[in-house]
Amino acid sequence: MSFLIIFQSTISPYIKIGGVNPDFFLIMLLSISIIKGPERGSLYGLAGGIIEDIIYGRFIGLNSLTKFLTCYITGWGTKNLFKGPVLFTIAFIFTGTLIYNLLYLIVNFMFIPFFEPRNIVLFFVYTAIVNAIFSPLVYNLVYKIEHFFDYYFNVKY
Amino acid sequence: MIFLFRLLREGQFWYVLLVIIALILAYRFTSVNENIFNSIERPFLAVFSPIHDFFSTIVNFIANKVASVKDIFYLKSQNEILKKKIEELSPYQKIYYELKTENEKLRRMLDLKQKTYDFDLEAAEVIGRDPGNWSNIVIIDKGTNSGVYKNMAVISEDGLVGYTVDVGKNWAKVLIITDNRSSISAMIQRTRDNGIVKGSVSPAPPGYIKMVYLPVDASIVKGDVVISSGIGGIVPKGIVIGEVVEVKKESDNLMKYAIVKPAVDFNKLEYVFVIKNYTYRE
Repeated sequence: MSFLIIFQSTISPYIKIGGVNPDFFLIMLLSISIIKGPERGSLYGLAGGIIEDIIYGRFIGLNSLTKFLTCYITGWGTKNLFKGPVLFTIAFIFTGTLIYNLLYLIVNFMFIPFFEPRNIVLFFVYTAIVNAIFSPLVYNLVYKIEHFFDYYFNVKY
Repeated sequence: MIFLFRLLREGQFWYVLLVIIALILAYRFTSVNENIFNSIERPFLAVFSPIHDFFSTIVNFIANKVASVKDIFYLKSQNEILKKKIEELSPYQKIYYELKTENEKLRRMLDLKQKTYDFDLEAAEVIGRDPGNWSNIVIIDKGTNSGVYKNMAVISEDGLVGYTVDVGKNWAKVLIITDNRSSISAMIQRTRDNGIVKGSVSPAPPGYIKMVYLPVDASIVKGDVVISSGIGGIVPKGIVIGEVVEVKKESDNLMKYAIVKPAVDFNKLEYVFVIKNYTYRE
C-alpha cells in the first residue's frame, strides 16, 4: 500500500489529463471496497489514509477520515449489486470519487477553518471522470490480486 | 437516514462511530501539538524518503529519456524560434546596459547604496508529491542536516515554488504556492501595487493562483509580472511568482483581483533551491 502511494506520487505528474492526476491509490481503495465489502474496504481506507496523512500531511485525520468513510459507503452501497460488466465498475468508481470529493470538502471545512475551495462542480466531475477512465485497469488488477490471496491463504477445507 | 438505520440494524454503527471519534481525537492531538505528529512522522519519513528518492530517480530518468527522444523532432523548429528571439532581444541588451550604467551613475549621484540580496541557497531534489488532487505538497531531499528549517522560501530557476512547512533530518515538506492554504505577500512589478497571492481558490482554475486585495484604481494589465513583496519575512522581495492572465473587480467593487499563472511549471519540478538565512541590505 505504501509503495503504491509512493508510486502514485512520483508517476502521477507525468500522466495528468487536463491538469488532473488520476488517483490510482483511491481507485485501488474503491476497488477493494467493491470487491471485499464495507468492513475490509474501510480498514484499507483507514490504513491508507493514515499513511498518506503521515507522509504528505501536517496532522492525522484529513485523509484517514475521508478515505475510511468513502470506502465504507462505497463498499456498503455496492454490497448487493451485480459487479460483472466493465461499465458497472466505471460507474462505481465514478460515484465513489464523487463521494470522496464531497467528503474531503466537508472534512476540510471541519479541520481547516480558512479552507477556500476552488471551482467545485467542475473539479468534482472532472476528477471522477479521470478516475473512471483508469478504473477497469486498476479494478481488474486488484481483483486478480485479491483472488490470488483468497485462493492461497483463505481456502476452506 | 436510510444509511444510518441500516448501519444500526447491521450493528456496524458503533464501529464507524468509534473510528470517526478516534480520528477526530487524533486530529485534535496532532494538529494542536506539533511534537506528537513529528514524533510519528519523522521515523516514518526517515524510512520512506530513501524509497521515495529511489522511485523518483527511476521515474525522472525514464521521463528525461522519453522527453529527449521527443525533443529531436522539435529541435529544428525550436532552433528557428530561438534565433528569432535572439534577434528580437539583442537591441534590448544594449538598452539594458545603457540603463544600468545610467542607473549606477544616478545612484552614485544621489548617494544611494546599491540594494543587494544575500541568498544562501541549498540545492535539493524533489523526491515526492502529494498523490491527490486536493492539496499541493512536495517532499525534498534536504532537511535540518543541510541547514533547512521550517518557513524557508523555496525557489526554482523560474521563480517561487513555495515554502517549507515541516522538516526532518534529511527531508522537508514544501507547501506549493498553488495550494489553497498558501498565501504570500506580493506586488505587481510594473505598478508596485501590493496584494496577497493565494493558492488555487475560486475562480482561479486549477494550477493558477489568485492575487487579491489589489486597489481598485490599479492599472494592472494582462502580462504584468507578479513578484514577492518581502512582507511576512519568509519570501525575500523580488522573487518572480508569475504573470497576470486576467484582472477583474471583486463583487463589492472596492477591490480588484488578478488570476496569475505561476512562473514555475510544477509538473516538471525536479530540482529546487531553499533560501537559507536570507538577509536584505539597503
